[in-house]
Amino acid sequence: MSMSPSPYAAFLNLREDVNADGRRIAVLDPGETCYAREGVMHGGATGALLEYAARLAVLDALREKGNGDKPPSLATVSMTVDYLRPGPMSPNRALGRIVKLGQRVAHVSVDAWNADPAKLFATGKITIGIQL
Amino acid sequence: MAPKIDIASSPDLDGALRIFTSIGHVAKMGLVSTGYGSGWIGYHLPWRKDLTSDATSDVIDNAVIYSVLDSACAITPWAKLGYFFGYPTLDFRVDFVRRPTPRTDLIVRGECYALDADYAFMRAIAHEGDPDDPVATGNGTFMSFNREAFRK
Repeated sequence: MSMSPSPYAAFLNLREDVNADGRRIAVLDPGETCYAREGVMHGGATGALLEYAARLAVLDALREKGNGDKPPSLATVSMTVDYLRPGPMSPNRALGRIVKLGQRVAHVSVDAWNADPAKLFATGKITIGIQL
Repeated sequence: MAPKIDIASSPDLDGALRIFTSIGHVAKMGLVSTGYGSGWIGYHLPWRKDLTSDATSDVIDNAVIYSVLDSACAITPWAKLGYFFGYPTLDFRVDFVRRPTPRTDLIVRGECYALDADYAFMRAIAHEGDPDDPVATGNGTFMSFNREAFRK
């Protein structure tokens, strides 16, 4: 169940990749469209990175649950981002973890890092509505 | 890469808004400032195909809405204090109240409703013409760069 890249993801240069442990992550290699100030990525681009990772996590969880190949319709209901340090202007990554997968809604916790997965620059909680 | 411009060196809010909307992410999204008052700043986001969430719906992506709400708050302390005092985002929450109308511009308003030397508290709304029918609302906490520079 690959996620078709949205025009806005293409605008930001946001894409998916696979982690060492086989889980899908979101990768954002920021350019001018993500720039905030010298060396720093815009917090809005950070939000997009986290939301993308959360969607990937929900799609993977639904697939593992056996929901088939028909892509579900996902709609983000709300999201909160904590900014821990400035996001760098080099490839940034984010991984979503399912807190709870319900019938109609998924609660996802998302972490974002640059070079070191133990040194996060942002973390978020994202609630995603599911229509199968 | 964008030219290195220091927004804090702009002497007035009009100049700061011109700089703010001409740099990097904010400029590339096409966010335009439309006015301001005590503690608030208004913006307009023209609909554009490359800001949508898929090729067929023509609806502005939620991540764009998140970003413009955050951006709309960014320099509202200037509109409240009357001088530049920087507060980067500490945390920000957005409720996506309803699905946007396809091919429709967004009207965005950011407000700083309280601040001190350490924190500024902001809220923002995005709608399509009727503020009582919002597309999304945001609120968050911003933390000052340099508390010693705060003037009451």
